[in-house]
Amino acid sequence: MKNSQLYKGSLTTIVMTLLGENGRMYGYEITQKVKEITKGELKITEGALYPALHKLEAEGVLEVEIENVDNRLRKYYKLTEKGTTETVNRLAELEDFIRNMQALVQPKLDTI
Amino acid sequence: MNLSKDEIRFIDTYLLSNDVVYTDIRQEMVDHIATAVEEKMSTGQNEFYPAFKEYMILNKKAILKNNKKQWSFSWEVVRQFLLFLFKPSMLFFGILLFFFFKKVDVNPYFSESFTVNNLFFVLVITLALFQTGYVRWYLKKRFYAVEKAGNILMILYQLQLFFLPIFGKENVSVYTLTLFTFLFTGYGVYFLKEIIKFNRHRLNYI
Repeated sequence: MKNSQLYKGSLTTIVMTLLGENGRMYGYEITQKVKEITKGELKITEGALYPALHKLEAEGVLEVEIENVDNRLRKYYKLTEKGTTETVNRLAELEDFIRNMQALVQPKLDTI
Repeated sequence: MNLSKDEIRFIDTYLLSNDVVYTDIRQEMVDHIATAVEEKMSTGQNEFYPAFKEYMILNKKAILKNNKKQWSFSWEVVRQFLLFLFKPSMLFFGILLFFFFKKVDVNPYFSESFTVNNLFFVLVITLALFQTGYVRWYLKKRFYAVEKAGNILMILYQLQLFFLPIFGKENVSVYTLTLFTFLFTGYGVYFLKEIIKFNRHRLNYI
C-alpha cells in the first residue's frame, strides 16, 4: 500500500464504504476498485486486505455469501445491518480526522 | 478467458505445497489468483502458466503473508471469545453457577485419586478430542474457521493447571469453581456456535 502508515488506519473504513456503495464484492474486486478510484495511487495488498475482511466478518460487520463461479468458489462480502450503521459512524470519524488534519497542516502547506 | 478445472486445481496444489493448509483460506486465495491470472490472460499473456508465473513473481510474498497472519496465534479469536462471555445471557449463567456452587458444596465429591483438577483435565481432553475428531473424521479437511478456537482451549488448559490444585485434596473455592465451570461451559457453547456458523457455508466449501 502506498504511504502505508497514512492509509493503514483507514483500510477498514475504505472497504466498508466500498461495500456500502457497491452492495457485495469479493476480495480481488475490492483491490481493483480501490486501484481504479485512486488511479493506481493506492494498492491494497492481499496480506492487508483479507485479514481485515476476516476481522470485520468476525465482528459481525460483514457477512459472506459463497458462490461457485467459473470452476471455483468465490466469497462475496456485504455489510450487515450493524455494518451499515458502523460505516456511517466511521465515515463521520474520518471526516472529523480529515478536517482536523487540514486545520493542523494547511497553514503550514500554504507557507511552503 | 476463464480458467479450466485443471488450471484451478494447479493453483490449489501450488498453494497447498506452500503450506496454505486451511481449505477455507486457500479457496479464497485460489479465487484471487485465478481472477488476476484470467485478467492477465485477457490482456496480452495468452498462456496460463506464463501468466500465473508472472503474477506469482510479483505477488507471492503478499499472498503468503496473508496465510502467515491466519496461521499465527490470533488475539482477535480470544477477543471474540471474551466478548461472547460478556453477553448478558452468559453473565446470567455465570451468576446462576455462582449461587449453585455457594449452595452445593461439591468438594466432598473429590478425593486424592480424583481431584477437581482431574475433572477439568478430562473436560479439556474431551473437548480437544471432539474437535480433532470433527476435523479428521467428519470434515476430513482442515478449516481455519473450525480450528481457530483451539487456541482458546490451550489457554484454558494452562489456566486450570495454574489455578487448580494438582495434588492432594485441597478444597477449591466457590469463586474458582464458578470461574472455571463458566469458562469451560462458555468455551463449549462458543465452539458449537462457531460450528453452526461454519456449517451454513460448509456445503459450499466442500
